[in-house]
Amino acid sequence: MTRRQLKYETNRVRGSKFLPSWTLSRYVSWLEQKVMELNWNSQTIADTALFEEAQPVGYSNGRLVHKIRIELSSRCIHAYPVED
Amino acid sequence: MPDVLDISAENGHLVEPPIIDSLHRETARRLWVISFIPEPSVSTREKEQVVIDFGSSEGRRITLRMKRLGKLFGRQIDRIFHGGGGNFSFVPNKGKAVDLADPQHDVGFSVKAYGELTDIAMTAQIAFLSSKLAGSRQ
Repeated sequence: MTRRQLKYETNRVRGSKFLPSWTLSRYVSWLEQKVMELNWNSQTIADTALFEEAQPVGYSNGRLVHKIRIELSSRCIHAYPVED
Repeated sequence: MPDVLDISAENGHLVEPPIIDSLHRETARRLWVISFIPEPSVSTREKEQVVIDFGSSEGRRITLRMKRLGKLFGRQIDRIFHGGGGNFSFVPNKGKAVDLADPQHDVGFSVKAYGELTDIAMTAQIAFLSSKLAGSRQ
């Protein structure tokens, strides 16, 4: 994949991507731990939080990044790599 | 030389911010909870989030658009998720989720759904800007 393709595939519209080392079980465990730290629960309507990891976590806009944003919307949670 | 328009096409459709990333109907609290990919001129963040009361002008507009989507899909839609690019999943109040990228949908169906999604995304972005403006005045 060229640098240009990587930038396109991980842009805001296509969505940033986690590295393969972030398996689904690792992602879920990490998310569970962070949600507990944040004290979010079923009564939390909407919120976001940003975390920085020591090692790169994925690609955003073609760049290798260390930060993850967690987003809670009406009892649904997801996390994605964001630019440093 | 005229300016060149940079329009990205996904699955043959035009997909440009603002784009709905997720939408949730909070019936009990009468709220729309919306995450969207903003236009770069509005925010440099990947996504922004806004909570809109059903009774507000933006809330009423979104309700109207959601009713039109419900009519299109034949069921009330309670949640929408952006799957990247031009793909969206619609979760009804009953039954299975429907993907817009499903080949059984014709182009006309997709264009109508995109039209409603675009308006909802723009409404969410306006609500987000209004809330930021109100916050900066306090």
